[in-house]
Amino acid sequence: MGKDIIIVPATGDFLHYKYTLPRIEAMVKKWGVELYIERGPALPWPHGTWLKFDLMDRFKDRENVVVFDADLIFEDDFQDLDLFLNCSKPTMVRDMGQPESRERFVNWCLNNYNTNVELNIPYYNAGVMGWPQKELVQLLDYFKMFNYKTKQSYHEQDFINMFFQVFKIEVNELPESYNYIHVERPGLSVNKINHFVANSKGLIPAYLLYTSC
Amino acid sequence: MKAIQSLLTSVTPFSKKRGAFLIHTLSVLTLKKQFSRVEFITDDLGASLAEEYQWPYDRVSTYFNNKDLLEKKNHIWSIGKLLSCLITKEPFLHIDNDVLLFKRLDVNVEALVQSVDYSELYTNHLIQKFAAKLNLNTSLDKYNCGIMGGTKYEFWNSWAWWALGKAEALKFEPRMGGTLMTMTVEQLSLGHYANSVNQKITTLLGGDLEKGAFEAGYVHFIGESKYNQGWLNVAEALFKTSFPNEYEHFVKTWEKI
Repeated sequence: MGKDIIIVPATGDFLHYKYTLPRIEAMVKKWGVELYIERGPALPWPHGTWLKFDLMDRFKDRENVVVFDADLIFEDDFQDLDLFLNCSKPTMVRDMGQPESRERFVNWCLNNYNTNVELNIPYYNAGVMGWPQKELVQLLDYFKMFNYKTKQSYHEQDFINMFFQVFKIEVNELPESYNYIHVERPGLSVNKINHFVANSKGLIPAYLLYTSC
Repeated sequence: MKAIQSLLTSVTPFSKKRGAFLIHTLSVLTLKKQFSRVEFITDDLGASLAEEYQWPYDRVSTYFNNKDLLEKKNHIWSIGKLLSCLITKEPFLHIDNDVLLFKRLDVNVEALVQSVDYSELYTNHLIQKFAAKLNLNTSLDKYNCGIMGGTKYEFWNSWAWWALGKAEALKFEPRMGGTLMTMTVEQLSLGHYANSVNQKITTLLGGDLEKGAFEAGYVHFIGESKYNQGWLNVAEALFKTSFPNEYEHFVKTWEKI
């Protein structure tokens, strides 16, 4: 058993997995790091969206846990996995749609977990994350304190951001290129880690054709 | 500048009628007269048609063999054109397979399209519904893209990417609207996107399309005109006199296939 692990929740049967997962497997193999991909049938809502927490809990004895969504396309010859594997602080990228906390998030925290959080402070996307053990265990303990998985949208991402605020956790914030979200944006940008959220997953074959031509 | 044509044989409708092949063959022959390079982006069936009919392309690529590019979008029939604009990283003009060019074009333009399209076509309630869903401004110019491209290929790459995103957003709409979706994703979206990035669009033909087409030596067999026997007779006579050897090969090939 290695000291670090990369986990990818990939339940269900989605077309984009055949493009993303082999590329992630090949990239991780080069680095000689352990990779765990959770497959199997799609979980009933909302358990699929909380799956990351279950997986992080399973591997909380590791020094570093890296979590990648299954709709990521890494650049060829990605060189920066160390940023996540050897992180001494939670390592993430600001969310494209909500780079600062907004009213929706504030209400989510209040309505679901009776917790007050502030507006207009950094808000991070949970699709690409590096966790050192100490903060990971702290997050999971905090989650278990509530023992409640809300059915309202945004789920684990909101919870993680709430945790950062409540415990004043310092985050190692990476540039947007490490979790570039391809949705509703003008221009075509090739990045280190490309995140095809929601409807944009269907663009993955076209993106790979573009980058290969 | 190079010319590009594209063909996705798995889109609906891919026509197997004689008229469509006759016009396509004549189209590439007219392009070869004025472009130093004419390329064809297609799939295996398109490539074999190019070989059988001896379409004189300088390069044939089969990028469209990957059917996942079309997933649930094969009724949005301009997908092949959008993909061609996306992947071409040098100045180009994409010219539809049903366009004939009889005069030399001035191609030193950043963004050139055929013409402004008739606004009244876009008052259709389905187009309005799709446009609303995609947050597209329907009051801007819409463009007929029988010919499209220019020197600023980066603009075309980024527009195509954006338009493909719009196609994704529409792919679960009822298939009855395939043509209307195409008009939304391609013709309406181009005006919206160009406006949002301040890109001037130049049109080949002016407001008087008939006069403009005559002056430019430009013919576009839009929609059902490819199957109108009167127009086809004119095209066939032109084919026979302008390219007699190629015409003979076309006739033999059609009969054989």
